[in-house]
Amino acid sequence: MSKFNRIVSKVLKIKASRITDRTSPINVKSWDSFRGLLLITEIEKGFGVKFSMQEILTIKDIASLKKILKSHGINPDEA
Amino acid sequence: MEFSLSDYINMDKNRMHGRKNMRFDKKIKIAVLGSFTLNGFKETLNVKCKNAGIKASFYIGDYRQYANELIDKKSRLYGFRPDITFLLIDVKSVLGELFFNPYGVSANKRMKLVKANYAKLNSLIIGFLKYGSGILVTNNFEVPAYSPMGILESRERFGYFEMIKELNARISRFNSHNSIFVFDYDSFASSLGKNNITDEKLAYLADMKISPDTIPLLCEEYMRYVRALSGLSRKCIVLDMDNTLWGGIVGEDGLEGIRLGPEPPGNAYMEFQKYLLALFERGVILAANSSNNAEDVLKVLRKHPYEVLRERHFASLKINWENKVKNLVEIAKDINIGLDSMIFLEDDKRIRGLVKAALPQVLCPDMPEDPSSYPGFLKGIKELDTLQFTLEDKKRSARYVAERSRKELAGAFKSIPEYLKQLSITVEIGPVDKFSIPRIAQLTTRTNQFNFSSKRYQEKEIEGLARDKRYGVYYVSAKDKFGDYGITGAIIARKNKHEWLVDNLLLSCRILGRKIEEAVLVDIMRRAEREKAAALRVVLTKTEKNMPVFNFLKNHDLIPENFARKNALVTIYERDKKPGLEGHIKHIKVVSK
Repeated sequence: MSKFNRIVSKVLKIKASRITDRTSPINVKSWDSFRGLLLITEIEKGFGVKFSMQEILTIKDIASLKKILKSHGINPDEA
Repeated sequence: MEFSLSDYINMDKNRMHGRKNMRFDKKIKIAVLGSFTLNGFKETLNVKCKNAGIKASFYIGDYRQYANELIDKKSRLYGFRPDITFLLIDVKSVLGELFFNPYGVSANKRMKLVKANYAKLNSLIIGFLKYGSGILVTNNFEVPAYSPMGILESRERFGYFEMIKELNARISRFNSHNSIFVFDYDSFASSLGKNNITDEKLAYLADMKISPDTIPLLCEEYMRYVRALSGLSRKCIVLDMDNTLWGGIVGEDGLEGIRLGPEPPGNAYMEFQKYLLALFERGVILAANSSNNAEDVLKVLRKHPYEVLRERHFASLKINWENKVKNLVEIAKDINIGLDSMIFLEDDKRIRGLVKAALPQVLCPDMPEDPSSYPGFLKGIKELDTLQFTLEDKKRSARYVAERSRKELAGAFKSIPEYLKQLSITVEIGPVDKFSIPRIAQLTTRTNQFNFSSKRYQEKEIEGLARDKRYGVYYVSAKDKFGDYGITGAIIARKNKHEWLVDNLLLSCRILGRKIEEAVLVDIMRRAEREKAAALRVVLTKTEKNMPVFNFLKNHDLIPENFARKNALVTIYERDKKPGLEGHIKHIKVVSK
């Protein structure tokens, strides 16, 4: 399991197999605004990066979160 | 190690969290109110309560509604009737524009605004005192580390920093109410670093003024109040010695060889001991549990020039080759406290493992490997809190040590009379005054074993009887060569025309078995005789616990061996009959006032 999926699965309490690019607050009940922020802080801690407010405001789903990580030079799908 | 906030939230959601078939001995109702987003507090506190064996229920105030809730008698907060309310306010939200632009107004205006803000906070406190239940924990404010005045800040008359410190000084006055506690948030923030406790991004995005990493640490501070309120605080620290109080093994390295003193690493051990001594001075009981020859350790305690803790600081010393689990049980018995009141500090991981498995009630934290971390580790122990601190509490640790000295002396003598002679007991008996009345009332409610009639009295009643000429109300205090027991007994006597009738006579079990019982009776007899009373009788009522009174009376032939009545008037003396009590109390100095 990738580090990324591990963090998402832990914070949102969902099975890693359920995580897709389209996973979002719309289809995951536990992903409320508070958990969303916790997810971001855990991702920041896990990968040693800091997102800007603007970046955080653009996060709508897993795809957009991964896109930001990539723009920081991190491949989220790496193990 | 602290878990992250998302761990707490997941643990809280997991109903099976914790031990199987967990039984909660304690219940508590917790309310949390604040001036910003409080997400995560409930979950974290709930998990921490569960881990402490407390079943908690919560009321979390609506976002920024704390002021309305506190002044409204009919608020949901007051409807919840919490045992403990945490009120968390940040300085920015209170001071508003003044926080950002303190020098936009004059020093006089700053002072006025501080007073006005204090008055506002005070009105909330008054609301709580009027309508609230339980205790309220509020906080002081974080003093900023930045000023627009830069390096000249400290030269400003009633400047920005001073202004907030002044507000804090005023807030600390809330502590004068018994049910209000001011949590020193400024110190808490300093200890973590004021630049680290806020994640600015989350503060701007979601008004989370405290970062997710800080919330569990703040909740841990709040748990100190919860534990103290639930009676889960600990009062005794049991210490291993080798490699805990000093470096090395005294049995092998010898008195001169152990590391203890101004040179490293001995200085870390010495400071560790100084922090322990400071805890002793505030009433924490110390005990020793060491695998050693007793004489080796005693040599250190008595002779080592840099040893801080001496024999006189330990309420119990178990220095032997028994297993340490057994020693802990013995120590608990010795000083008569529960295992759940004890913390055991031991450097050896293996022994800690044994203790944790055998005695889960004993708190046995993992000590750091390096002695340089010992002082910080000790300061991190947050289980020793109480919500009240009386002079009696401060003296507690010393009282337990005196009791050990007495027992040791008793062990050294072949006969009890010889031991009692060595104790040099002084008993003082005299009429009560306004200083002793509250204690006397307390004694009538707490004393069970040596209590003739077990009548309970309120402070007001004792006051009334003390003023009444037809009554004599006396206190008994005692001391011996090891310490002062304080006021430990009372006599309430009706002075009828022909005879004295003692309505109640009681002595605390702390002083029984030293013939103080006899001395008190002799003194009261002499008082009655001096006032020409023809007889002295006492009211005797049998309860479930006052067997010692009956044994005492039987031993002195004041009631027959087969006495079976529940209520009786027992004659201590009449014209033709007098008990021979004086012979028993030659070792006691009686001061009759």
